[in-house]
Amino acid sequence: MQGRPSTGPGSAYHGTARTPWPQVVLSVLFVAFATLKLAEGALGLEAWPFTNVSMFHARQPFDVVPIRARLFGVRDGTTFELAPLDLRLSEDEFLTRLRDEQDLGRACSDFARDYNRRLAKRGRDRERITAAYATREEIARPGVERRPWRTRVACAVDDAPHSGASP
Amino acid sequence: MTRLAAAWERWRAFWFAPAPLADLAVARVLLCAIVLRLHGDVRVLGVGLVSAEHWKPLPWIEALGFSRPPTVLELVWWGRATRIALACAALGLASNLSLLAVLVLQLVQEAFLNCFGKTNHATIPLLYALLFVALAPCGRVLSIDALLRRAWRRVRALPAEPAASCSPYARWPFELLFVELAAYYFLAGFAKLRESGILWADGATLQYYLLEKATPAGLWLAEHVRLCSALSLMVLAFELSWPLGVVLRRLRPVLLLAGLGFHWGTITFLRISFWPVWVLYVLFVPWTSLAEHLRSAARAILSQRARAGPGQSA
Repeated sequence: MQGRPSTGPGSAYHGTARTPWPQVVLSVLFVAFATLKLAEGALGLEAWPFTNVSMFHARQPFDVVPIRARLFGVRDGTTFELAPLDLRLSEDEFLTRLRDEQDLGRACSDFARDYNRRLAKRGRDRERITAAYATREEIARPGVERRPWRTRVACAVDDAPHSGASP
Repeated sequence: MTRLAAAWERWRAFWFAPAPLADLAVARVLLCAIVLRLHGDVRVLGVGLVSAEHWKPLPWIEALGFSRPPTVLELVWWGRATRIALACAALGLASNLSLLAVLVLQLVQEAFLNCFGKTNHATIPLLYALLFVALAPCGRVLSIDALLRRAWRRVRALPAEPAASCSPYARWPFELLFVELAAYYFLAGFAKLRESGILWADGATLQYYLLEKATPAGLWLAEHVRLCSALSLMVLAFELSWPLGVVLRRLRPVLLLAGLGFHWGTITFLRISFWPVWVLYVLFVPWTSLAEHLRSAARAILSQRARAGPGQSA
């Protein structure tokens, strides 16, 4: 790509004139950049904006079953699902806690309280949730012959410590 | 000429062969448009709404004084400053300085988004692209800077500058951006092989994520493990082959087309867009050559019509 004029032995560019200093400086930059990229890969650097771009790199064998985690709130007797955006988090940030944290009750309570706190901060106290719960369930995987499990945990919605009740 | 001197000349020819300045100017404008699109939604503003307990600042962000997340009002001002810098850079007013300002402002705002314990990879090549173009003569043509320079010379009664359409410093930003993209894809493939070996491509891993993301197309694909395995192998081949494009320029169109296919696949099957990465491919379009081709094609059509005109009327 970039069909820019090429250089070859016959071109006007090709010569043995002294190299201008910006080309020397830039050449040092190119080498430094390449070294950085090599270091990111070799050392497995992961400190933003330096990264070894290790996305989806861990193998998930056939017997490992994916888990889906969801968070629900109750307002005026109506149950609705809370999305990552409701907490101003990305899907990854949301799931990392709700799906992967050992204590689901704690993760869920943190989110529910946070949701209410932010509503209060914006003067929308009437929209606060009065109850919340989270679910974790295995997703059936083709070839895995076992009944997927499902768990549901109630969450605290106020700033008092959560009960950790599991209905 | 010694071998070393010959190698140095080849190096210079690779990076510093004269290239059209207009391509660099177009890249400047396109990059501004991409960053503006990133600011089109509330992704950065959302940082101010996240509870402080989720805030895990990067060390350098904490050193800048952000031990707590910035407020929405502060972020609004960051956004405004970015838009002003973007407008200047796009119009070519103090082009290099404006684009460097965009880079710094965007770098900090992207860093805010990485202060929640999770690394976001999608905008890293874009930041490098901003840096490379900002360090190159991106405002020499198609810019207010160029108009001002011309006007200044007229006012001072200086002889007009020879109209330069090419520069030895107009090529390297594209070459280095390709190196960045090649490293980006290659490292992604390398991380898979290092962590999981070739077994990563047995279809199990792709099936797992397809089930987790649960798009209609993904759930269909998850039922076909052999297809999952074939696609995983293709992903590895695609990611690991990018460095070849650094030295074999003819391979680049193939890699870029394959990249579009790859990202189409991740959007369709996994709901993963990464648009700030693949939209950068547009920078590799040879705009000047394209415009010349279009101009000569238009001229050919017009002259054909002019020749056919008298015959038709007779």
